[in-house]
Amino acid sequence: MKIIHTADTHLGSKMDSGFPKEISDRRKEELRNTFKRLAEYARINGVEAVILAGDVFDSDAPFKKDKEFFYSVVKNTPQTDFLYLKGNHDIAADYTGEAIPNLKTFSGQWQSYRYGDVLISGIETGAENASSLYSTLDLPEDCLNIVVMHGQAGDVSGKDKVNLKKLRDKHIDYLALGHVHKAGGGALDSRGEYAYSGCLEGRGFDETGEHGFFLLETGRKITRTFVPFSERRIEEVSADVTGVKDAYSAYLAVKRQVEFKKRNIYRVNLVGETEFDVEGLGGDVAAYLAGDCLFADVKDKTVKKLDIGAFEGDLSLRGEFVRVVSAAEGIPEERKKRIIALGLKALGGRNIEL
Amino acid sequence: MKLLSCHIENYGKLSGADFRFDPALTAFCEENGYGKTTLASFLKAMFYGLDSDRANSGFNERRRFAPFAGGNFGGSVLFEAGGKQYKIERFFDEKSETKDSFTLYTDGVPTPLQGSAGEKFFGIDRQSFERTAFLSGADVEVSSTGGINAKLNNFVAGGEDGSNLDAAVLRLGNKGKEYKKSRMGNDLISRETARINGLSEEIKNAEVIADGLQEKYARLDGLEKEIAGLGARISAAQSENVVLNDWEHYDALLSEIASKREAAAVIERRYPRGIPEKAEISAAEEALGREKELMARADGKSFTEEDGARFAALSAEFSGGVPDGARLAVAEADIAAAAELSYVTERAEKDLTENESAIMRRFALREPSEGETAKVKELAARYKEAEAECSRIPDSSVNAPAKGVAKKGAYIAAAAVSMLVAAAGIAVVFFQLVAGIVLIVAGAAGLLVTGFLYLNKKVGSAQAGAGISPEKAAANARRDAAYAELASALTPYGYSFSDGAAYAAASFIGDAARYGELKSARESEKALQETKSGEKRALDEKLGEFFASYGLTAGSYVERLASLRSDADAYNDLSERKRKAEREERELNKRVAENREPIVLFCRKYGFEESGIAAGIKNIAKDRDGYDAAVKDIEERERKAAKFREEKGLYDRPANGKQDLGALNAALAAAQDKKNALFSEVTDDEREAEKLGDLRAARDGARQRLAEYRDDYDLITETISLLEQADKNLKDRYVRPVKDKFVYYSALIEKTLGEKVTMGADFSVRYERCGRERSEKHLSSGLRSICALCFRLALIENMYAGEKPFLIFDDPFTGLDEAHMEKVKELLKGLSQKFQLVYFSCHPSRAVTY
Repeated sequence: MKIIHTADTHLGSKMDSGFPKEISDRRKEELRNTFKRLAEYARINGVEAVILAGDVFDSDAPFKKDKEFFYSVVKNTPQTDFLYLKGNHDIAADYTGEAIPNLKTFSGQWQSYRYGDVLISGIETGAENASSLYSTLDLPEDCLNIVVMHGQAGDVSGKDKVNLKKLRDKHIDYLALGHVHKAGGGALDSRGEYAYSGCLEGRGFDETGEHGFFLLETGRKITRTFVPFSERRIEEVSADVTGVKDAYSAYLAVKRQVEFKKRNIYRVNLVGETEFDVEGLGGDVAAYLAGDCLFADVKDKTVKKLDIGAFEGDLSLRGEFVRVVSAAEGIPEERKKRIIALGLKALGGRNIEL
Repeated sequence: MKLLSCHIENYGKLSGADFRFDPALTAFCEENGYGKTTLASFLKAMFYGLDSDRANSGFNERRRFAPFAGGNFGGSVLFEAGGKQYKIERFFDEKSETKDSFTLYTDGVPTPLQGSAGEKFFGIDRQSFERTAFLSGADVEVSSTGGINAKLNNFVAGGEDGSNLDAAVLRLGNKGKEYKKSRMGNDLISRETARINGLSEEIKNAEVIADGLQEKYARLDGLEKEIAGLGARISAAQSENVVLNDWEHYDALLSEIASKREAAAVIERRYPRGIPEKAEISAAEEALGREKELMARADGKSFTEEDGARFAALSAEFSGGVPDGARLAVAEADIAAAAELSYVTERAEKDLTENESAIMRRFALREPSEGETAKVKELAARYKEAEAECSRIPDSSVNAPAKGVAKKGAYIAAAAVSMLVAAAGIAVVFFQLVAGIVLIVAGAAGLLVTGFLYLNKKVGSAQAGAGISPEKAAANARRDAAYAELASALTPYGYSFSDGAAYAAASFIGDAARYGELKSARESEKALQETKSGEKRALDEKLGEFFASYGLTAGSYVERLASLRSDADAYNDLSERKRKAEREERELNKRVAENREPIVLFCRKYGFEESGIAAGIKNIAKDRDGYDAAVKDIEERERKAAKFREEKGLYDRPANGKQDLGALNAALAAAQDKKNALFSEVTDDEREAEKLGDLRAARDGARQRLAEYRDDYDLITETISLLEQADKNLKDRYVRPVKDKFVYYSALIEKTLGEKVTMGADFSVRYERCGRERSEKHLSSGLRSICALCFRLALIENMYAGEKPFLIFDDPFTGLDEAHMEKVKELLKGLSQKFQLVYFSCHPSRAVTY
């Protein structure tokens, strides 16, 4: 039997504020589209059940259109059951009264669904059952038991928490978790393991890297395989641009250090040391990178080089200015550097950019 | 730097003037109008040029010092600096500095120069030069310029880099205005603030919309439930109504059955003794039908009244017996014979051809005898011979007397005879057409011939008169005579000589022969006809008697015979038919009686009137059919009704009546409309609410940008402040020396002026009087000029540590009294040890001698 373990689709979610509007809109569409592709994958590959371990929606009050989209996908994949466990974001979300035969839900009590010798059980945690749920879990030993929960795995109980310690030795073969947006997992006990599927699509620069779902195959035991499935990746990289004199040189330096893929989104942190009068790298380098990827957000985190000591012997206004700023009290050092850089550029008749 | 000399080619009123300068003091004390100011201006212009003379320039130096006499406007100046000798040659355009020419020679070699010569050699701009090295009575400004400050900075620093605070502050200030303007608000901070405010408003709106969504979702769910409920009620009501409809239908079926039964009962009531069976009715109908046929046959007599009348008439005709076929055949033969006889007797007139008829007519009045015929033959032969002879004998031109000319009287007589014949013909034609015509033709022909001959004779005479041979003339005469005789013979018979005499003769001969034949034939014919006529008369008599015995006296024999035959046939036929008709009538009556019996029985059985049974049997049959159909129909309906009831399970009649679906449907439609409208509203609201995330993100971004802008603006203002602070520090560092020098110099001239003097960072001089600080502008013009001098000296002392520039004094001390002037003179003498002075004055009292 094939089962998909996924979670945190966050349908209806807004995207990173750092994305321009067109990228943001596009990503929203891709997020929905990926969920549709997941259903299609299930259909084509004969997946009998899709476990949605929470946060299908981004809000307790998801938009009707998001709900209708979700239910439409489920309805149009009738050969696959969708086991929907609400998470912390959509705990209060409700669906229309229309009965959807292949949509199985959970509640605040343990609910199980059997597929031959595979038993999938789940519970929606809240304040009222955060501690008691572990004691009411009773699974048969002779089944392949999959348990679905949503929360932060650890050794403590509570709302939005999953106490791994209390789930040991409960005949669990696979603990399908949601809440953490990065795929990962570990051993639960001698019998089973726990895993976060991560979200299907990254929504911002805090959700970088590969995204997808786990494909579970049952036999004597449950094997899990990560299937990368996201439309595109979001990556954060750093590039040392020490010594560059202008934005284009910085761009070339970045290109030498980072391999860009056209379909991906990048945050590029420019690091290193540049002259104090080398300004505006972020915007210009981002513009140069427009052709190398879908979108690049470039942050200029370079340290501005300014040799205060060189002005010691300068008795001109420049030198006097540097001395005055250096001696000024109540101004942070970094700000002093900026003041000096600005003043020297002004005195030097250079174009002033901040 | 030392001025050596200058050559003024044309500058103001000076033309072709040369001046040499003392290394220490060169003093010019000349009357007004000498050109002192001109020379001072020239020297400055050599180093700094002249501003263009534009429309709004006013009376500037270019305009003022354009040479009065024309010519090259400019000249040259020779000076030493930095161990080298320089020469500046400069010529000015009357209007525009762009057209000026400038050449710098360094030790006699032309040297390219970027920028102003004054700035190169003095290191200051023109304004700064005017504030330092150039002092005139009009300019006693005691302040610095950026160039002076820069020079002082450099002086203090010992370096040169062109840094200029004013420009830097201006650049920063302009940059700062991008972030924040004092008014109008079209700056980054204002715009970003406005954007944040706008976004906040939009967010507020979107939040309100988003907040309202839950309530709308609840209403939408409510409406959906209501619609579902209404749908269920409608469905239940429809089902109930369907059952009620079924009961209605069942009731209708029963009602129809009842009405059918009633209709059947109505029929039954019409037959107290019962309704006859179909077979009985059929039998009665057949009998009645047969009876009708029989009656019709009886009516349809084969021997009608007309036939009777005809038979009676024929009987009268044949009262003596009907002629049989043999007798009629005899009559027919007689008739044929009579016809034949008639034909024979009438045939002769009709068998002649037209030609034969014409011949008969020609000779009707005068038959040609054999003798005449022979004569004509002879005459014809003679003529022919004479004609041939004439042809043989040729004509000649011998004039011969005319011989043989017929006498005129013969011609007249012939003509008269012809006319008489024609007249007789005219008279006869009314009685005998043919004969009359023949006579007329003969008479006319005679006239023609006579005329022809007469004319011919005249021709002959003419010909003879013309010279014909006697032989020929004789032949002609013979011919003519033959001709005349022929004409005489033939003319009475009407023959024309138009085709020639020979032809006419031949025609006569032929016709006469034919006439003879025809005449013989006629006579034979006539004899025969007489015989036949007798026979015919006998036959006519016989046939007349025969037909008269039957009353047939008119018409031809054939017609009478046909009529007789027809009547006989008709009589025989009518006799036969009469007999037959009588026989049939007897049989018919017998059969009618036999046929009537079952009908009578039928009527008696069921009480029908015999007299009306024929008309009523159809109704009886119809009633029977109707009754049978009704019964069958009733059975069928009962069966259907039972089946319907069983199928629909109509055992317990519902107590309630039909429900009004209209109201329910209306309610459903209204609920659906509401739901659709609400759904549309929700969709729009979601679309708006969806923007909330982006709006908040945009506002966060705007706030961040605003913070950055403010920080940048603060950075700029801070930088400006610190730059100004640095500048002040520098000025403090270099203003003091200037001030000290100022105090030193001014104390030499006016002690009070030198006490308690303060000098601002902008070199503004203030002095204390009566416990209050006052600006130097409060001083008299004289003392101000002293201030200006001292200030310039102080500046120059501090600006130029090494090589000092020359100083030009264009009579600046006009306001000084004698005492102050003496002190100035002493000062100037002392200064000349350090500076090259070029001093101009226009009054000896102010002259300075070395």
